[in-house]
Amino acid sequence: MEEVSEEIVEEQLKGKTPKVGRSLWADAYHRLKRDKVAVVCFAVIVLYVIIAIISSFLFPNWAENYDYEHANLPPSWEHPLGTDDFGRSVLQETMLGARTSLTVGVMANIISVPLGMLLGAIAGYYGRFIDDFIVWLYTTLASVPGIIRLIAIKFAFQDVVLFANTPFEMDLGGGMSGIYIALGVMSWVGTCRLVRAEVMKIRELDYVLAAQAIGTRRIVILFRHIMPNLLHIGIIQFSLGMVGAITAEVILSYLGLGVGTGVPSWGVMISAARMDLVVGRWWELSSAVGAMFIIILALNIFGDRLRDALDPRLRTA
Amino acid sequence: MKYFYVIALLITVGLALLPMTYLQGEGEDEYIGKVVNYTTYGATVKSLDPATCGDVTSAVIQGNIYEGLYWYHYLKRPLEIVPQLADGMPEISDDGLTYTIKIKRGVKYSRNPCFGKNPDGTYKTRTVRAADFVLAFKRVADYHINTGLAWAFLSGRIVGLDEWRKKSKSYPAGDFSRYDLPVEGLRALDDYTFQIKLRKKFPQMMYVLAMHVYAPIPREAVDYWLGTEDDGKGGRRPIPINKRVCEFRDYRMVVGTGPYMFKEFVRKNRIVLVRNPDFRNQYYPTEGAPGDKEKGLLADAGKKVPFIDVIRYDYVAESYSAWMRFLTRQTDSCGIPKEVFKSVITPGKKLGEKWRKKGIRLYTYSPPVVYWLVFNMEDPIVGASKSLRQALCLAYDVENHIKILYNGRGKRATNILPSLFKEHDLAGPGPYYRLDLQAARKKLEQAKKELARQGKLVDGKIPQLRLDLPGNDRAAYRMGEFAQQQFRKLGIDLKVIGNDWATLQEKVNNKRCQIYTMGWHADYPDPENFLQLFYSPNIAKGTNNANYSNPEYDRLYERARVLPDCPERRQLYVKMVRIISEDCPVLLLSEPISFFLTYKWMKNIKPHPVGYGYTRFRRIDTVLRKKMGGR
Repeated sequence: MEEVSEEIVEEQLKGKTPKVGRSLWADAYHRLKRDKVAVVCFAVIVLYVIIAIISSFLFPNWAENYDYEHANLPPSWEHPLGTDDFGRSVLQETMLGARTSLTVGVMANIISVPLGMLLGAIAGYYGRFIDDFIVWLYTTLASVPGIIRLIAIKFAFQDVVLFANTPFEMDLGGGMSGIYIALGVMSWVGTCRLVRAEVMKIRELDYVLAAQAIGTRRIVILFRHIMPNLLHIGIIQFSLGMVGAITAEVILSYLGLGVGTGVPSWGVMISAARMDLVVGRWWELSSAVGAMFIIILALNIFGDRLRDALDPRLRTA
Repeated sequence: MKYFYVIALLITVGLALLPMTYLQGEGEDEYIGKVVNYTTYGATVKSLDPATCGDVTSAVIQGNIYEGLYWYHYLKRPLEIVPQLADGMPEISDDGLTYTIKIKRGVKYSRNPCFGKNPDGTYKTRTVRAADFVLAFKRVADYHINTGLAWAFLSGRIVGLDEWRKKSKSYPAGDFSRYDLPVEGLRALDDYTFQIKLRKKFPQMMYVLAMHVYAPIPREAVDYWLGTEDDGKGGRRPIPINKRVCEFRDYRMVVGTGPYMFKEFVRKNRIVLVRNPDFRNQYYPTEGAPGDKEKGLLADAGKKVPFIDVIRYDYVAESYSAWMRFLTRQTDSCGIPKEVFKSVITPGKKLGEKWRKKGIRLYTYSPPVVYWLVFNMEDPIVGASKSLRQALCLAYDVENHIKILYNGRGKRATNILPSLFKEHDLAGPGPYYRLDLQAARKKLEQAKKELARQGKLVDGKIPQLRLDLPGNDRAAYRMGEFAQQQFRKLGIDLKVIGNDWATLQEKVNNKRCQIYTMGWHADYPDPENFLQLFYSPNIAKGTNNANYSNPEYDRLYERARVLPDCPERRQLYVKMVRIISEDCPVLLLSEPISFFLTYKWMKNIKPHPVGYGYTRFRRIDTVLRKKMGGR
């Protein structure tokens, strides 16, 4: 007997004619729409994205808006979250920090997720020595703790500037590009493992065997018939990977290896204010930690719910 | 089996209580009945060898162990050189080239395995001889030891020493027979007479002799510690020449004549110095500067020193943790962390009443230090445009630099000499060492023309500049961010690069920095010590690390350096300072003011601007310390 979704059962019980044949995406959308927590989390993420986008236009000169006479002021109507060491608004810094974190999160995942999917798919589909090599590669990478890998790669490319003196200049040592490239090339392992396992399963399914039987080229089967069925894994990994990337950016910036000076970042704020609590200056630290906590919580919950919606077999209890 | 549960219970309880054995405090018992000075340090001790000492933290530790021929009177100001291991002031020949120095008799080194063992199992010692000073000077000149500054002061000064250095290069690093090669200008006339012959007059020679980096080294220490190793059977065996090191890097190798010797040295953990039982008789000064008597600084006049038996330095990297130790009376003295400065020090730079009532005392002093940003004069951008350097000097808000980054602990440096020198005032403030944004913009326009003529502008703009910092921590980056703000006032982008100290040194030595932060602490109280930093032959020695070269300046320096303190020399110094003020090879920042706190049980505290090793004169009222809740 064919299994039907809970939603279809519910609609039948209500006497409605269920819409049969709903796509995976439409089904996931309906599931998420009914999940109030997921909706709230999504709203929070959208809010952060909006803040990240508009803050650049609202406060383009934040770094230059120093006012040494008003340094380290507590929250007031003029400065709702107080001021920092150089007299700049902590509220503006926090909002601009969202831009830094989300940029790093998105860019790192734009690199890591496709890379992980590609390598995972190739390993899973072709198997044999290609699989052995890719498994060896990610096992080796995974054997070194993540933050150590990041620090190592940051140091390794400390003096490297790509496309110097062009609009695409990328300073791998001191610039933001260095962070998301480091995160991107180091964070594909999880995606690769999942995709590899999924492809190993899919390659034995009838429709793949049928394609092989009619002589379709293997590369076409992989990219046209298998990869589209892995897209949901990519989306889930992207949303969960955001959390890792944001956290890593904050840690690297805290350690002085992250974004360059003058770039607002929650990690830099935490590092700058870590000794402030002892003299009662709580606002900079609290703002950065609070902003980070909310977005990470929202991304984590939304990522979980998205996974449940896109892959019901993985649904948590 | 019937005892199983009992044994298991006992083991469990034992394991649970084990950590409590640490609660009694580590090694405190051995201090009972001794006067212990508890203090903290936050920087790495880079050197245990006097020849390689080049940083303040190492000098502070070494000053308690090693001693030079001369040093500075503890209390007198202006500074006065007095004999330390020398028996009186040197006999200087009429031509000013030969210094004959008598060595005090009976000065003993601290006991060390390198001198052998007594029948009772204790280690032997021996008295200091003139030959030990010859060896010390040779080690400073040794090609195989990275002696940096110590060599810079001797290079080209002593007859035959530069030639000896060249010869030392031809020897393998581990072949110590090179120390047997004679140097014409360094001779031990007898066991207690040491003679130095100079190539030409060097009026600052007395100041050089007052530095502990030329402290005597017994040959036994070199041969025993660097030439042999433990054979595992209670004896020693020779180390193959190609595996030997040339520098004393282990605390057990340290052999000095000072009042203290190492008991423990755990890198980045703790250092314990104990009284050297073989230290000669030395007494607290009976004279001081005006006002010292009223401050109680002569209360111990004529008493034998040191007063303290043990000095315990605990490594505490975070200044706030060091502060908390001080507040809980676990340490006797402390600096003031930036975070709490405002709550401790009043706007009038006095100690707050609340803290005075806790028995805390504040000491402030201005060390002869100037901090600056160095422009690499060989850089194709900042070195090529004087107007650009002048513009950056004019645009930099030094007053706020001091206020924001250092809680106002300093004053603006207006020329390259610290204000303690008379010549500082005579030379007057440099025309570009002031804040004038309008003038800076005019200078910038000139700079653009200069650079455009050389084809060095990028899209009509000055290319991004680079600032190298001596740290990767937040304090370093704050400084970098502040500098970015200042440069941006002129529309100039500044890239800030954090480095660890060794990397920065390597970059500076290889001329790979464009702009970097640096400063200079006077090694001796003569402006020449600062002026030599811009003498072009010193580029090769590494002290002129701005790579500044100006024939006129060099000519003036060569004339001045052989003159004794006289009006002519003063005028030459003033001219040199003004040349630097015009050329701006450095962007002057601040002359710092040091603030440090002690509890009132600490006696005889008088900060010394130049010398090290004065802890021997400090005294602790241990009864008062205990009464006030201290250790």
